[in-house]
Amino acid sequence: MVKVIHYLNQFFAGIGGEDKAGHEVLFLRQAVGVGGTVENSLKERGVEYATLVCGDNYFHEAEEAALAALRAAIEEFQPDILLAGPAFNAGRYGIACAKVCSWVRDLWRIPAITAMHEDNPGTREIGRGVFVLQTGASTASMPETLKRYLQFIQKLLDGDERGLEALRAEFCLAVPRRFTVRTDKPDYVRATDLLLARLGGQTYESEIPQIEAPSHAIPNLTIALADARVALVTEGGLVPKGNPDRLESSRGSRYFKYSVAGRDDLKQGEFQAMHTGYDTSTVDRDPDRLVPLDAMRVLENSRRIGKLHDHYFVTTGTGAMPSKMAELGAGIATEVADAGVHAVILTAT
Amino acid sequence: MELEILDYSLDQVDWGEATRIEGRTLLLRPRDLQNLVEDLSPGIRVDFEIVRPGESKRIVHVLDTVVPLAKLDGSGITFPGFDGATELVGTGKTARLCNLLVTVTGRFPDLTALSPIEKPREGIVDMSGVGAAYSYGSDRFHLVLSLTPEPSVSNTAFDQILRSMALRCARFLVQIKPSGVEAERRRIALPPVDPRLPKVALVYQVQSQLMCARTFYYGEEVSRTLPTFVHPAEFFDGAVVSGNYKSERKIPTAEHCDHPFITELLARHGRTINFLGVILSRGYNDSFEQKKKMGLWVARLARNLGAQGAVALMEGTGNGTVDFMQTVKACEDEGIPTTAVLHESNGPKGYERPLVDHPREARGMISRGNVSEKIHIPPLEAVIGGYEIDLHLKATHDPRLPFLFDPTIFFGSYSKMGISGFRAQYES
Repeated sequence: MVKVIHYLNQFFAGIGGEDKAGHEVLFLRQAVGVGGTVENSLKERGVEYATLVCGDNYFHEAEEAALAALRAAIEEFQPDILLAGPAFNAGRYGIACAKVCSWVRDLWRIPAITAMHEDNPGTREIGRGVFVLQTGASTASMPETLKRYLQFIQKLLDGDERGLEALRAEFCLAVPRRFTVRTDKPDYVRATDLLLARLGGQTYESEIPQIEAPSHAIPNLTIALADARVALVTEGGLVPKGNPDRLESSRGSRYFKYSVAGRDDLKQGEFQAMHTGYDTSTVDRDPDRLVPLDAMRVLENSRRIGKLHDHYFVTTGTGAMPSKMAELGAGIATEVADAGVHAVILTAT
Repeated sequence: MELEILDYSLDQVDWGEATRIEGRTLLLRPRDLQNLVEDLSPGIRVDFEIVRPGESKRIVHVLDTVVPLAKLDGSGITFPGFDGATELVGTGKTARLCNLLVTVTGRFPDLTALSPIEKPREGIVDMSGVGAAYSYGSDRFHLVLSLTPEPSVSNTAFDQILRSMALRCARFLVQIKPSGVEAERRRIALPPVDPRLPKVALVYQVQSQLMCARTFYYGEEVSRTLPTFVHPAEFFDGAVVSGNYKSERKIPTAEHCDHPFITELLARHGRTINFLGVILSRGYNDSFEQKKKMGLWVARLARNLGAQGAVALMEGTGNGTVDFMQTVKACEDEGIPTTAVLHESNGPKGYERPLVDHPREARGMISRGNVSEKIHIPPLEAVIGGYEIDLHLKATHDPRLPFLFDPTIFFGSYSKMGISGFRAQYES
């Protein structure tokens, strides 16, 4: 007898489409929708099936409440296996499936299986040890995906580790992700061994792969510099004294813009740096050394540039994940482009 | 240059009517400890606690930890540059209580007056459970000094006093004469060895920026020094002392005084390598050009020492990684193959780029694990040092309750993860 719990969104549970995306968590002690197919195939082995339904918007807008409701259901049902999806290329659904699987896998240590297309943003939310089957972009691959779910469940029930690994290699999404493992030697032993291997001309393998940062083409200035509107952007955490918007001093999750209209320089005591990554005392003494308003006014007055944009943009880069910074950077880029800015001076720390 | 270490290892530490060592048991009289630090503590309440390895205890707000260390024969000093006239160290006889740590916990008196970069980061030590493999010192006894300053105490004074108290306790504890126990003797020296063995230097980069994020060499801030040669024996005598409260990344003073990389290279000296000694350098220089110069000077020093290879380690993260990588690059450019040790930040889901900076010259890296992976941290039976921990300025948490966080909440975790044998690896 195996207890399977299946997470579905409002659409695949047959509750409704976008109009029902705000649906709260529903716990049903029966199979619903595609779950019926999985349940039927497991009947011979003996199965108890339950379903969790949650609207896509509800999950995103009230994640904590949704997880609390899921927790209650899981504690009551005590499943052996969690299934979620398949989500195909549905972004909100894919993210929810990945998050629910990761969370359940982390907390209850039971196998968690979901499925989605490789372009689904949910692939960025897959936790450690979660099986994520590759699907096509549309529901056309539903029958095949359900068959794969079953294959995984059967290998899990048989305790067939090798078979499971083979299935993972063949059918799971290859999203390269690095996690901590424990070796049998401390770092100082491995470091010295690796050095001796290098010095001895033996083969060796670096433990940290070199991953190139994605390259970005630098666009050409489309207008004469003397006519260009230039904006100042920084990740150095410069905010008005008192930090009115509560910019984080590390792992910035937002960016802000502050007006410099009518100012010729940023005076000591009126601005401060919120940043745990560098010695901010110089910037606190002269904020222009991070956001060079004084120098830009000279260039503006001497008509070397057309105009300095009226706002500077700021976030805090330290400790933050590159993906988060890419997201904030894209937001700033869109905003300055929409404001007619031709060029940006980005001061990093 | 030669230092003899006499290691006394303890089986038990407890409170007693008199302060003494009986066999392998250290007994401490609370009054003696209070008297010891009394003149240092106007305006600061000091609570002493004993914590033992394996106990279900969590120590919070850990600022530093020091190994008891003193000269045996009254000649010479330990921790030069602190509390007395400076002398060169690294010779003579030094006694240690090698599995005891003097651990200082507390919160600075005026956190609002500290800039973000100065603010200490939360660091906890779990003596058992999941966190023990991430907590520096979880395998040793602790004499914990929990400091509670009054608002009248300045941050600057508190910073100095906490260090003075720890170092004074560390010297005091070794003055208690052990009776009937033989010390384990270790010789710290670099005698001439087979000249055909490969000559290896250790590059040792520390964080040194400003108050609360600095490291001392003979009591001087490393930010005011150039890369310099340090003999391993000087480390064992406390030539390098931490004033850095970037908790998870810091090299605690106890580790500066007994660094596993130095011990490993000493152990291999004359067998598989010719260990030349340590190059101490500064990370967290303010500009890229300064970072680059620091690397060039380290490489030139290594070249002049005759190094044919180097092992490199660093204290810190992000910013300091650039100085570190410039150093690795400069050494490789000088024809000195360099193995560099770092933690990775692959993100909670493991897909982020591992390092903020990774030039192609850094081709021999050792990983200490993914420090941004979340772990479930269950509660332990007792919490020492306070009932509210700071989750790195984002939220607070009652340390008596379970929580989900990454290894950055543990004191000295980057070092300890390496010692525990952790590394990051692709999920197969």
